[in-house]
Amino acid sequence: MHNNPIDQWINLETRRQFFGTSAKGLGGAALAGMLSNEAFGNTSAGTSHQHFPAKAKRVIWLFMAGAPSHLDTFDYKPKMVDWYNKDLPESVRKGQRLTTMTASQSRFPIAPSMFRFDQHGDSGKHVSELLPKMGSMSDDIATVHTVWTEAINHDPAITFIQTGNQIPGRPTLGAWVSYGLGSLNRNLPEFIVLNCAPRGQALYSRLWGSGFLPSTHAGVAFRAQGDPVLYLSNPGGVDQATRRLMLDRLQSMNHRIHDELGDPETQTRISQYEMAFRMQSSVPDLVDVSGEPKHILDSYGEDVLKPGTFGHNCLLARRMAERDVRFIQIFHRGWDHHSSLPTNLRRQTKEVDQPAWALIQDLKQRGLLDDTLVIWGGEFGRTIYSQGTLTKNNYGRDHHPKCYSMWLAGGGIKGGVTHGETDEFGYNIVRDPVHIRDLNATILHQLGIDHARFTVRHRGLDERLTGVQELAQPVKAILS
Amino acid sequence: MRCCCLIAVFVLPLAFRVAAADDAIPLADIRFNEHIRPILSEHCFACHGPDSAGRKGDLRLDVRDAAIESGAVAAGDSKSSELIARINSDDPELVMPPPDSRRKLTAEDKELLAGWINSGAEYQKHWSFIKPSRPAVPQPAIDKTWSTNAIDDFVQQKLAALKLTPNGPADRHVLARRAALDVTGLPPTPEMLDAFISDSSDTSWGAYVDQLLKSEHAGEHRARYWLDAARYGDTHGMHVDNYREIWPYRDWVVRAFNTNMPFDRFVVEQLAGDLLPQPTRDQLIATGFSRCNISTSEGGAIPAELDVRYMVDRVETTATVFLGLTAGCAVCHDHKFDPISQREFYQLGAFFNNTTTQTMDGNQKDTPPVVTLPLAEYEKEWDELITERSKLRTEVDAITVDVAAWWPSRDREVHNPISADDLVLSMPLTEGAEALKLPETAEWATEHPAGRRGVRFGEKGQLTAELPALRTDQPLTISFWYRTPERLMSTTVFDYTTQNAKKKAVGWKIAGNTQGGLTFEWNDGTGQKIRAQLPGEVALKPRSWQHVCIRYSGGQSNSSINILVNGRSEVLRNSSEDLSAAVETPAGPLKIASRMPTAGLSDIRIFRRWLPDEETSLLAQEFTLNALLKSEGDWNTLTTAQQQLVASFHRATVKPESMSRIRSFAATQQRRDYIYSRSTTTLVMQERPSPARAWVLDRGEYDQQRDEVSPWIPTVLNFDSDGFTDKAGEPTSRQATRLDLARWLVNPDHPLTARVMVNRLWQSVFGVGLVRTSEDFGVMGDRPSHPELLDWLAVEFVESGWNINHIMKLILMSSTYTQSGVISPQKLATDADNRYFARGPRLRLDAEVLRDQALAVSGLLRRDLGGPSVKPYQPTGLWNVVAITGSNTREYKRDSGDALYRRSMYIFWKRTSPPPTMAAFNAPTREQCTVRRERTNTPIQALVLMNDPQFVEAARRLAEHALQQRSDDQSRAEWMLQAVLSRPAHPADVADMTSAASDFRNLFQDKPEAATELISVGDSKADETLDATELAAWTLVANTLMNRDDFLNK
Repeated sequence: MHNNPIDQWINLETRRQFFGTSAKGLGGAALAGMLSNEAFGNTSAGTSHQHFPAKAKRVIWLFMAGAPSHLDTFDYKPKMVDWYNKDLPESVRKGQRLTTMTASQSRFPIAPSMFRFDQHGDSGKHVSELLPKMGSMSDDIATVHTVWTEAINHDPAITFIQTGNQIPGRPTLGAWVSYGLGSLNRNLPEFIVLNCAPRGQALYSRLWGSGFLPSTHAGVAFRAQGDPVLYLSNPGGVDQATRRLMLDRLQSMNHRIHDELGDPETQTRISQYEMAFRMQSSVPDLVDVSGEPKHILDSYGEDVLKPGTFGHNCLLARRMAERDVRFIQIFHRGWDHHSSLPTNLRRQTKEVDQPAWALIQDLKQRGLLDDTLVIWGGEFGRTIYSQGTLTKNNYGRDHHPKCYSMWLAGGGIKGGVTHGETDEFGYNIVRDPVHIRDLNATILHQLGIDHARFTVRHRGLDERLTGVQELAQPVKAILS
Repeated sequence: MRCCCLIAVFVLPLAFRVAAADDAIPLADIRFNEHIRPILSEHCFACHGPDSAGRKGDLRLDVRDAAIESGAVAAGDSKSSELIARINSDDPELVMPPPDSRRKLTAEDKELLAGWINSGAEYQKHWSFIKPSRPAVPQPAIDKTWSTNAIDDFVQQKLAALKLTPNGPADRHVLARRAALDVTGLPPTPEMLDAFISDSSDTSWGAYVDQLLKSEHAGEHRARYWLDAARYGDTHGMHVDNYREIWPYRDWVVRAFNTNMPFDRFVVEQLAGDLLPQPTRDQLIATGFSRCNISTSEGGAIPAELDVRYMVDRVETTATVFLGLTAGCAVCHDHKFDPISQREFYQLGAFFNNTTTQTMDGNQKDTPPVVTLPLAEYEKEWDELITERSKLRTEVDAITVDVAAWWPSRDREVHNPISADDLVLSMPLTEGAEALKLPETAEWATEHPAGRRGVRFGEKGQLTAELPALRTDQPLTISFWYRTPERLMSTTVFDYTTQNAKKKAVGWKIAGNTQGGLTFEWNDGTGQKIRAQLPGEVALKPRSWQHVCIRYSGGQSNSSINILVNGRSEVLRNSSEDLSAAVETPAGPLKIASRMPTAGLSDIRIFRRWLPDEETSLLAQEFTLNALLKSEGDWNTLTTAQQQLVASFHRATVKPESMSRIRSFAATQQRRDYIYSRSTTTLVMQERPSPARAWVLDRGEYDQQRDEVSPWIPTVLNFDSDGFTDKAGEPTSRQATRLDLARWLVNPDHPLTARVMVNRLWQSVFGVGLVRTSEDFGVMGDRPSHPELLDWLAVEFVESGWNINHIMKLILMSSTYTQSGVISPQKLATDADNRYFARGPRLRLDAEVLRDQALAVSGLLRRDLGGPSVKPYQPTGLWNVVAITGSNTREYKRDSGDALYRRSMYIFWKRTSPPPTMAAFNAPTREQCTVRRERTNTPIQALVLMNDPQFVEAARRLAEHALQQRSDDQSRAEWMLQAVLSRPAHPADVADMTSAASDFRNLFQDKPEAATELISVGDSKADETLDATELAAWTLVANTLMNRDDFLNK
């Protein structure tokens, strides 16, 4: 009907306005039924929550689960070399609470990063030798050195950054975005999660859950083995032609049921079965990378053809962005380096450096980077002092919530910017703190949403992604 | 315009209608709860409400006296009321609500406020805080003959106001199916259906409903709703998310509903069963309700922080489930809208803050306290053991000897502080004490607490000793002094493992880790192991000598492992919880200190028996004891502690008959472990003897303790109730307990509990409660659609003896329920959500019911009740992709046979990755309390129903029955549709089905291998006597039927 994306958008907007003004009289079920005839299972967003023109239409979140060390990647602390194996001054730690893993350590000996930091681009940004490719695109990205959180353990911290609350049960960022903006496409979910091969710390399905929002806004976790979407394939012996035949009979029966009972939900069900049928083609088409030219495949690194790798998932993320999936989140695990950090971090960075770079280049050359916001980072940072063994070439780092680094690119983000400053120990924030709520407010802002006005009434409270109390602020300094 | 209205109000206060619109409310009819409170709570209370910290301008409008005193409200005189002046002000500095609040009053709101003040500004308590009284049943407003019971009269009253008329009765087949699904969660059996259809008497419907309510499946279905509210799951829910054993609680809930346990008892036993006098085992199991909260043992977590989180979860759950109130806001500040202060929140918290529950769950299935349910064969012995142990304990305690008299005659040279029975290895590792050649880089230790003892090891080399054969089902005790290394590092202290013929490890091992902890593991040679860890939060002391004793009782599970440091037993964390096989580990070398540079060891003793605490404590104090025995002092010069140590040594070694009693006691301990490790356990509540208390936490932060508070209930809900008020109506001085809390909840005078429960019963049938926000009866929750009906049902519920089935039967007997579900365009336009019940409930079935129904109509369903959770079909890799290494719920091991076809409420619920088919249909994750599921309609659901092997197998099974029972297409179609929908087929459907069958048949005739493939889906084998093409064709016909909208709806 409307093949041009802009037409689709206008169409969607018009429909929203219609429902927005008449939703009260129409009732939720009917509204849901009619809306979802078009949009992917998105049955509840009666009105658009866009408050001003968006800079980004979609988001790709490269989540490094387990918490990468900011001190060995983006936050260059050259003075630490002189502090090797000296105790972290109490004036820096200020009695701050520690995890019970290192609370019993009698010393907090400083472990300078063993890695060289190189300067890149016009901005002269220092980036660790472990991330040469990411370093090379310093002029395209904004690095924030002062992200911080309150949580000091993985489960609460990752729940916090994903949902704005340490306690499970709230909707995730992707679900909020899906709820607030709805679908850009007819054949795919708005919020897709790509998990990399299991390693290290646990994940939880709540990390892409919809909390108290309708579950149609929950992320759909694509799988690396079996069907990309659960139960997508017909059972053995049933091909698409046979399924079509079956569906035609089913729909004929369902139309009769609707004629008899008049329930608009029956109409909705009829369209959802059609959507399911379309997905049976659109999803395999999405994940089939065989048509990608060799130079593109090569750019994503050697793992690009192995499902479940970061390289493969970055390529899929680009294909999803092209198809206007609204919110794409890749979870890459294994960044929790309490011991043997250098060895482990080399492996981790090798896996992500090239593909993340390739994703940005690929989006850029297709003109998609302008309206796609890409984010890289984890749930907290790591301590300057060593946990366990400390030698010049071997150390571990405990969890550190008080500051850590992330980068953002595309979608109205200023390139070549470094925002915020930590002290010479990379321990405390000296200038421009960015709470994870501020980060979430920034992401919403780029999507055209004022986080403060983006509320949902739940259990008597106007809930926000950014918390009902504290007022978060978008980080304006990194916006173009 | 505004001014005119206001003036007019003054001139004609009685007759004038406040707004020009047709539906304006006469002044005399303005009610605070109905009209004014919604305006104030939406626009004003955030700053001028109950929250003292958030209050602006020291003005509160939620309390009449305060509002009047401040001048905001002048009762009877809106013109003199500052409130009215401010809401009408044009000055952006003065106008209320302030422009930046983004709240705006409508003209109608303003007129209502003025009208209310003029008519006296009367306040009312929020409706749900007022005890319901039984309202008069209204005269039927539309049709006297339509009403079956009082429910219908109340419903008709509203319908008349909306100019709607109810539907006529539903078709009896449709009705029979609807009621069976609502009461039992299963379609009616063909026998029940036939009996009902052929019974044309007036009493047939009532008899049918009674039969359903008596079904043992009714309890299962009702329990399912309750388990959402109780946040029941089979894993801990956080981080490692290991298995948690609490299914006996789930079965208790099923039993309680199946015996129609009065709801007041149901509440008391769950919240405080442990505090009842001489509680039965069942009453203890019931307290699992408060143990269903998610928990963790994440390394690094701070226990005090977790304690607060668990307490908050218990208060929120209790408040939501029983009070229908959202207490959570008050964690950080006084509630903005409901009169629950922050202090009162923590007073509620104190009720739950005094249990013996261990904070870190240890990643174990049986985090104490638990109730043990031994296997039938051990049940008698278990009970006897408990008696025997308490008898032996008394005897041991009663042993008295005159140690003082013995003291002068003591032997001053003691080599073993305890008996050497079953001592299989003893190595002092002390220079001169034995023939020992030190490894190359090792040296004698110099700073042992007992002087020059022990060896410090270096980078190279190890010691070995020969150990005799051991068995995994026999006890073992390993005692040694350990000097932790200079830096935190991984060490291997003892290694007695070898590879067996199958290349699997067999034997035990003790290792240190980088968090300063210690692990002990047993490998049984089958790939299974049990492993317990002294976690980082109770790490060994760095760079110092300490005594370590590891006891293993032979129970072959983690609960059989103890680690004692300096004689003190520590709480362990478990990672692998399999019950290992009973195997022999061969005699062979024990590798000592194979990797522990800079660490040290001394005084290794290995016993092939389980040492009682009396003996382990002597081993830990061996050197202190030796020094004492050598000393010259008189008995009277010893300190009390020294005398106790000597007395304990005397009992253990000098006097054999007392030792034998101690050993007998130890033997019961070991036997206890043996039986325990083979038992089912279930988590329960247990109160500490000390008085309960909690602290108000600033902004809800665990380390910001303010005032200490005792258990108490919110003032707004405090009526004269035992436990909280004495005979004179004054607050009691005695400490309130969870039992008082539970009894207060089910006090017949309680305004909320009965309303909240009947509302959820109503919601389970009609899809939406009389109060739509069934989790929130507070100020911000929705007002009831039928307030009188809600109150009438609540009073009826209490007066019937809290009889759930009585209320369910009233609902099911009503014409409101039995009317047809047809929706006319007019009804859709007026009442799309069916809040006013001008039609019968027609709703998409819940996840569990959809699967159970498919199993039932295909004949696959196993109908047995209870037992451990089951693991049916699930796509591979779902657990693996989220779980952490070492989690025992990382690999999904699917069950086979009957376990595949149990009711869905028995599916194993891993909270960080719930069953996907359930999640697709809005089942909650069970991470927190849920009293209202949403009901979406998505393409993912279509994919599940079309393609999930469980549904495909059910379709094939149904097709088999059709082919076995009927021989031609026409009658096969008729039979199949009747089986699926519990009603005779319409000709149009039969025509669709027969032509579909012939289409599919043609397709499969050309592709016989496709037919074979389709009918091979699922574990159950297809009937080989049936033609594969025919069966495949009808499997697809069945698959079509089982995706019909009327199959997915009730």
